[in-house]
Amino acid sequence: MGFIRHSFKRRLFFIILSVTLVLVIFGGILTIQGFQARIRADHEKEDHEQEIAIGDKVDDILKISESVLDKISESDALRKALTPGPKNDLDTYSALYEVTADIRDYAVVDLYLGGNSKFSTRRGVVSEDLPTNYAVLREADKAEGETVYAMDPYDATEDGATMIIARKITGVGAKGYAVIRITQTELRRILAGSFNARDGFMLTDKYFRPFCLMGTAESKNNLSVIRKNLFKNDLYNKDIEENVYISEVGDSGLISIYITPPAFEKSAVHAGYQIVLMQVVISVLLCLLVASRLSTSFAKPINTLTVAMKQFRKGDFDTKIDLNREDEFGQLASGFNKMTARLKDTMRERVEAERKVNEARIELMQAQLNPHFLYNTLDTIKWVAKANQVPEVATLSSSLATILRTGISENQFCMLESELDLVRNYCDIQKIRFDDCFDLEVDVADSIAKAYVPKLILQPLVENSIIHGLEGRSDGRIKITADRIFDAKENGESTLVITVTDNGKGISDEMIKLIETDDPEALKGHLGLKNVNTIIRLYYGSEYGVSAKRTDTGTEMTVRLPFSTETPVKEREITP
Amino acid sequence: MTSVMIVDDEKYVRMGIKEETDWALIGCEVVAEAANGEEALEKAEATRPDLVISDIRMPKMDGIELAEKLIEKYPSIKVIFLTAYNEFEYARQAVRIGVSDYLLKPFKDGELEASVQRLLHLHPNTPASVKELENTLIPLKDKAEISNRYVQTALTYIEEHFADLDFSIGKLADSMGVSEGHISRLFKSETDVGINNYLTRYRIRKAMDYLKDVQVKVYEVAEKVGYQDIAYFSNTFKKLVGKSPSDYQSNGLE
Repeated sequence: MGFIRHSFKRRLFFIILSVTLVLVIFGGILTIQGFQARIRADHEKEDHEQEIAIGDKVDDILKISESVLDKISESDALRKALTPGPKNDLDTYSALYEVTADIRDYAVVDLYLGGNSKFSTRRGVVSEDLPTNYAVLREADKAEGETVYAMDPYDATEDGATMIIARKITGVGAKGYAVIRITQTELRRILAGSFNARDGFMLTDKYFRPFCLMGTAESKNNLSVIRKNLFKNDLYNKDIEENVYISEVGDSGLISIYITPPAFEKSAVHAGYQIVLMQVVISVLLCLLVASRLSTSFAKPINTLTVAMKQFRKGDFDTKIDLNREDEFGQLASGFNKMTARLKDTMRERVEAERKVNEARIELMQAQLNPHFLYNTLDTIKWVAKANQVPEVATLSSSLATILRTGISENQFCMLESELDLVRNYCDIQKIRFDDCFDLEVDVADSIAKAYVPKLILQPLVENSIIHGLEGRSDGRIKITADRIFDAKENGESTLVITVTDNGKGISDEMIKLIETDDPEALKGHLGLKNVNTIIRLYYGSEYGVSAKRTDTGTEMTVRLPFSTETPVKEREITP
Repeated sequence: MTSVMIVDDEKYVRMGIKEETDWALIGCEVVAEAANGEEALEKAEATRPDLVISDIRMPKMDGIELAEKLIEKYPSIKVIFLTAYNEFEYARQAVRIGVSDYLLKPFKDGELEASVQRLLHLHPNTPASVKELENTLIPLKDKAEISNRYVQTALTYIEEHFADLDFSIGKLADSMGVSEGHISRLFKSETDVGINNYLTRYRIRKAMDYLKDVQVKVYEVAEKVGYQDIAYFSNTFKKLVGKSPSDYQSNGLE
C-alpha cells in the first residue's frame, strides 16, 4: 500500500482502475449472464412449444388408433369374423376397410385369431404371425380389452421398431385380437414436419426402447446416456449438453423425448468472457493513460509551485509562476505571485527601515559622549562654582544636565509635568544668559500635567518666544497653560490643548503662514518649530499640531494633541 | 542630630555636598568623609553615621558593595546613592539591597535636603498622626521646656514676628535689649538650632498649616510667612518638607 500511497499518480491510477474494473467486470458478467438467461428462457419456451406440437401429433395417432380399435371391437361383422363358425369374408373385409379408413394411410390393421393373422389391410401378403405366449398378444390378453402398445418383436432394433397397438376383442369365442402396425418409416414420415431440423426427437416405450429416432437423436448416444442416468438414479440430463424434454404421451406409457441444441454454444459464452477480458485489459490501459494525464495535469502545477516555493525560500523574492491556466491552479498561481510581490515589497520596506534605523543608530553612537562623564563633569562644575560663590554657574550646570537627560533619554514620551520641568530648566538657563529679562509662568492643573506628550515639544515654542518675540525687551512674560477639551462625540476621547503666550512683538504673518502650510521644508530655518509639528503629526495625524496667532499683546501658540495618560503605542517610526 | 557620612571619589563633590547643603536646617551634621568604599567602611566603624550619602562608581570598592556591607553591619543605617546614571538597572539594584533613595547627579539645590528629610522622617515604621509626622519632620520648641527666659522671649518674638519681611536677629536683639551675638549663642546652646534656622523652620511649619487650605495660593502663603521670593520659599519648603508647596497642598505628606 505504501507503494501506492507515496505517489499521487499511482494513487490516482489505483482509484480509477478500481472503479473501472468493478464496472467492467461486474457489468460484463451481469450482461452475459442476463443475456444468457433471457435467451435460454426464450429458447425453452420455443422448445416447449415444439415438444407440445410433436407430442400432439403422436397423441393424434394414438387417439385415431384407439378409435379404430373401438370401432373394430364394436363391429358385429368383425366380431363375427373372430367368432368360431361360418363367416363371410367379404363382409369382414368390407367392415374392416370401413373402420380402418382413417388410419390406413400409414398403418396396417390385422385381425388375429390366436397367433395367426386372419384378416389384414395389407395388400398382397398377410402379416406374419405373432407369438401368443409373450410380447404384445400376451399383454393384450392380460389387458382384457385395454389397448396395449408394444414393439414388433421381429423388427425391433436399437434404431427403432414398428409400433404395434393391440387390443383383445372380448366377448367372442376365441382369442381374437385387433392389431395396428405403424412402421418406423411411416412414423418418421408423419412426424417429420413437426420439428426443427437442428432438434432431435425420440419416441420410446416405457423402457426407453426406441420406436423411432429422428433428427439429431439418430445418433442414439443421448438415449443410452439417459438410460444409464436413470439406471444409476442420476439426473436424466447429466452429461448431456443439449436440452432434453421428456414427457409421457397420454396414458399410453409411451415416452416422447425432445432434444434441442443448447441455446448457447460453449464457445459463444467463452467469446463473451473473452470480450470482458479484453475490456478489462483496455480499461487498465485507459486508466493508466487517464491517471498519467490527470496526475500530470495536477502534478505539473504543483511541481512548479514547489520549485517556486523552494526558490522563494532561498531568498529569490522575484519568483513568479506562469501556469497559463484559469482553474484553481491558475488562481493559486496568481495568489502566489501576489503574495511574493507583497512580501517583496514588505521586505524591501523593512530592509529600508532597518537601514535607516541602523544609520540613525550609528549617527547616535558617533554623536554620543559617555553621558556618565558628561553628568559627572556637570556635577563637578556645579560644586566648583558653588565653592567659588558663582551660583549662576551651578544653576546653569544642573539645569543643563536635566535638559540633556531628557534629550538623550530613549523615551520618546514623557509626562507633561516633566516637559514643563524641562521648560523651567531651560528658562533658568536663558534667564541667566539674557540677564533675567523675562518671567515664566506655568499654570497647569496637576491632573492635566499627568498627560503623556512627545518629549521636547514645548521647549521649541518657548525658545521661539524668547529668541524672536521677546528680543530686546526687559519685561518679557511667557505663560504656559494647558486644558483638556472633551470631544463633542462623547466617545471619551479628549484633546490636550497647550498654549504658550508671550507679550512680545507678535509673530509675523509670514511665519503664521509657514506654520500652517504643513510643509516641513518651508520651516527649515526654524528647526524647533518644524520638529514639533513633524513629531506631533507623525504620531497623531495631521489634524493635530501647532498653530500660531498674533494677539493684541503678543503671540499665542497652541499645541493640540490627543489627551492620554498612558504612553501612546508607537505606530510609526519617526523618520528624520 | 543625625550624623552623616559623605562618600565620593571627587574632592569637589565631597566638599560641595558638605559645605553647600543646609545640614543644620534639617538637623544633620557631617561627621565623616571618604573617597571610596574601603575608606568609608573604616570611617563608619569609627563614627557610626546614621546616614551615608554615597557615589556609586568609585575606585577600590564601589557604592553598591559598600551599601551591602554597611546594611549588613548596621541594619538601621540609611543610604542615599548619588549617581550620574539614571538607568533602570541601578535603581533596581539599589532597591534590592535596601538602599533608601537615590539622586541623579547633578542635583538641584535643595534636592538632597528634601531626600534626607523624606527618608529620615516620613514613612516611619509605626503609624503616626499627621501632627507627629510634622513634628519629627520639622521639630519646634515648646516654650515650657525652655528654662532660659531670654530664649523664651526670643521664641515669643519669633512667633509674633515670623511674617515680617524684614525680620532680622538685630531687631530681635534690640527688642530684648541684648547684643546680637549673645542671644544667638544663648539660643543655639539652648535649642541646638540657630535663630535663623529656627525661624525658617517656624515659617515653613506655618506655611504647612496655611497650605492645608486648598484654596490658598502658594505665593500668598509665601508672603504670609515672610518670604518675598516665591522661588526661594519653594526651595526652602522643599528642603524641609521633601516636596514642593503645591505638591504638599494637593497631596499632603503622603
